[in-house]
Amino acid sequence: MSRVNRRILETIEESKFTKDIKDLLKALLNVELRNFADKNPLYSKDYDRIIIELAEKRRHRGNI
Amino acid sequence: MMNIDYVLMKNFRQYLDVKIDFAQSPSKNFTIIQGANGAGKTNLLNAVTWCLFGKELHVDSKYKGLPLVNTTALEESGDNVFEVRVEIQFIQSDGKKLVVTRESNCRRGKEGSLAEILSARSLSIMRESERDWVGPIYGDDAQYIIDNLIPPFIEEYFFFDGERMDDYFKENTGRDIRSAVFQISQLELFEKMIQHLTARKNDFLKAAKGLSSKAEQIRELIQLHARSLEHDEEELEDLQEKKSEAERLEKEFSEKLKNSSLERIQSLEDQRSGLDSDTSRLQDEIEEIEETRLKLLHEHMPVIFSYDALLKTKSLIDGRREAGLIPPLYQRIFIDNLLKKGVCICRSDITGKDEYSAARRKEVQTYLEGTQLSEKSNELIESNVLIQKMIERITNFPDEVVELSKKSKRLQESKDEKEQKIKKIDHEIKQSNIENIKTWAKEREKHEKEKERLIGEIAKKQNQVERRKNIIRANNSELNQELKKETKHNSLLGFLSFCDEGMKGAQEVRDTIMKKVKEEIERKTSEQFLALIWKKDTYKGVHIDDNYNISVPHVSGIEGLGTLSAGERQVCALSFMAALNSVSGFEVPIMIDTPLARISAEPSKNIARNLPSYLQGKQVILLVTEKEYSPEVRKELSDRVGRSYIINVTEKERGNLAKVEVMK
Repeated sequence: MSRVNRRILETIEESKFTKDIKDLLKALLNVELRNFADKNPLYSKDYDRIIIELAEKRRHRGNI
Repeated sequence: MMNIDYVLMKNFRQYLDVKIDFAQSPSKNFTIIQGANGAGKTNLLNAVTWCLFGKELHVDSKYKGLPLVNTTALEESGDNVFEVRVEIQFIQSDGKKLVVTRESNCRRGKEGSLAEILSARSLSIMRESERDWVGPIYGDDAQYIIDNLIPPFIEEYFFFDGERMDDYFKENTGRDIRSAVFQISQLELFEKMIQHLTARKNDFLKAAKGLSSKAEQIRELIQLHARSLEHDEEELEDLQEKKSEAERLEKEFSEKLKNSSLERIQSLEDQRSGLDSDTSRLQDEIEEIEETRLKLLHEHMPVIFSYDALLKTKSLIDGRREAGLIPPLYQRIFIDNLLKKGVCICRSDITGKDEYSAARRKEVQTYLEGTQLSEKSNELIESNVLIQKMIERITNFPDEVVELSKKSKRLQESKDEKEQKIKKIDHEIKQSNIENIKTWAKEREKHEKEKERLIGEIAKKQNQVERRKNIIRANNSELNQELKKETKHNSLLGFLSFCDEGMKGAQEVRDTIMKKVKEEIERKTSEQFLALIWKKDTYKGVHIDDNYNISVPHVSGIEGLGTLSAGERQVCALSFMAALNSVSGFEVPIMIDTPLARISAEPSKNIARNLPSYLQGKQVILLVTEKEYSPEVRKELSDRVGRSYIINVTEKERGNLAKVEVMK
C-alpha cells in the first residue's frame, strides 16, 4: 500500500512546520506505509537517505 | 471513487457460474442482493475477500473446514481438473477498468468427496491503460496493487457482516477500538515513525560523539604562530636594513681610504679590495660544495640505512641463482606460441596423436609450467640488478664525500690565508700617522664587524622564520583534517536537530489528527445514531472518550450502552462503522451483509431513510433477507437503488446451487 491518507497529508500541509519538516514527514510516512506489513522492517537506510538529503538541502539553502 | 463493476464467480461454493453487475450511478449507488438465510449472501462477501486477499473472512460455521469448491462441479468433474475462479472488475475514479482474478485448480480427491487443490491460489490483474490493457500482473506484484487500493487492515470496515456488528462493542474494548481507529486513519504509521526517528537520532548522536573537533584550538595556534611570524619577518627586515646600512658605511670608508692622497694607502686598499673579492668568491664556492655534499648525504641516506638488508637480499638471490633455482629459461610467450603453432623447440610437429608427438607436446607443456616460475625469477633478477647498482653507488659514496670535503678544506685554507692578508693590511693602515686614515680604518672595521654580526643574526632569524612557516604549514594541514571532521560533525549535528524537529512534527501532527479523527468519529456516530434510532428522545447521543471508550448517555445522564437492545447496539455499531468509513479517506465500496437483521420493522424503515445520506457518494452493496428488504424499506431506498437481485437456490443432492436473478 503506498497511499497516505488524504487527511494526514492535509494536516501536515496545514501545520506550522517548515517545508523541510513537512517533506520529511511525508517521505517517512511513505517508508512506513511501504513497510507496514513487515514485523521488523529494514528502515535505517531509507530514513538516513531521506534525513540526510533534506537536512543537506536545508543547510545548503541556509548557506546561500 | 472506485466502484465494483461486476463480480464473476465460477465453481465457488454454491455459485456454479454467476456474474453480478453492480449499480454505478452516483445518484443510484445502492445494489440490493436479496436472499434467504443460507442462500449464499455471506459467501458472496467471502468471494470478494477471497479474490482480493486470498481468504474468506466471514465463513459461516456450517462451511468451516469445507473446501470452497462447488460440490456439483466437483461431482460432475469426474477425474478432470477444473478451476475455482472469482473475477472482480473495478471501475477506478479515472474511468479505467481493473480486473482482479483469483483461481485455484482442483480435482476430486481419492475419497470422491473432497477436492484436492492442485495449484496454489493464483492471483492476476489486468489494468486498462490509455491505449490498451496491461497485464496480466501476477503474484506479489498483483497483491501490491490491490493493497494500494484497499489496504488489508481496513478491509473489515468496508466488507462486513451486519449481523455480527452487534458484537462489536461487546467484544472490543476501548483499546481495541482505539487501535482500529489508529489503523484506519493510519495513525499507527506515526507511532512507528516516531519510534524509528528516535532510533536514528540515537545513532547520529553516537556517531557525533567521536568527532568533537580540535579545529578551534589549531586555528588559535596558527594565529599565534602567524603573529610571531609577522613579528620575526619585521625583525628580519630591520636586520637586513641595518646590514645594508653597515655595508654602505663599510664601503663609504673603504672609498675614503682608496681616495686618500697617500700612495701607500691607495696601494694597500687596492690589494685589500682584490683579496676581499677573492674571499667572497671562495666563500661562494665553499657554500656550493657544502650544498652538494649535503644533497649527496640526503640521497644516499636510505641506502646507507638499508645497506645490510640490501647485501643480505643480494646474497640470497645470488645463492638461489647459483643453485640453479631461479633459471631464466624461456619466456612464457615463446612457449605459448610453440603450443599455439603446434611445433616443438626443435621445429618438429607436436599436433599428432602418435607417441612421439604426445611426448614432445608434454615436454613443451612442462616448459610452460616452468615459465611461470621463470617469470617470477625474472622479477627477482631485475631486482638483483637494481640492488647491485645501489650497492655500487653506495660503495663509491665515501670517495665522493671525501673528495668534496677535501676540496672544501682547500678552499677554506685559501680563504683563511687571504683573510690573514686582509688583517695585516688593516693593521698597517691603522698604524698610519694620519689621524683621518686611522679613524676611517677603525670605522670601516667597526661597520664590517657589525655587518658580520648582522649576517649571523639574519641567518638565525631566517632560520626562525622558516621554522615557523613549517609549523604553520603543518598546523594548516592538521586544521584541514580537523575541518573535515568538523564538517562531518556539523552535518551530524544538523541531522540530529532535523530528527528532533521531525519527531516534534510527527507528534504534533499525530495529536492533531487524533483529536480531529476522534471528534469527527464522535460527531458522525452520534449524528447517525440519533438519526437512525427510533427512540428519538431517549439518548443524548454517542460519546467517545480519549481512550475510545464508547458511552451512550441516556437523557437523564445515566449511561445507557449496557441497556441497549440488540437492534439498538447494531444501529450504534452501524453508525460507528459508517463514521469510521467516512474518516478513513479511502474510496472503497461498502458491502454489508444483513445490515438490518436484528432491527424491527419501523426502525429498519428509519435506517433505510437515513442511511443513504450518511453513505453518500460511496457505492453500497447490501446483502439482505426478504424480511430485511420489506416493502417499507424498499420504498425508502427506491430512489437510491440502481440494481437489485434475488438469489434463488436449487437444492441438489451434493449441495445447493445459487442463481442470481434480477429482482422484479
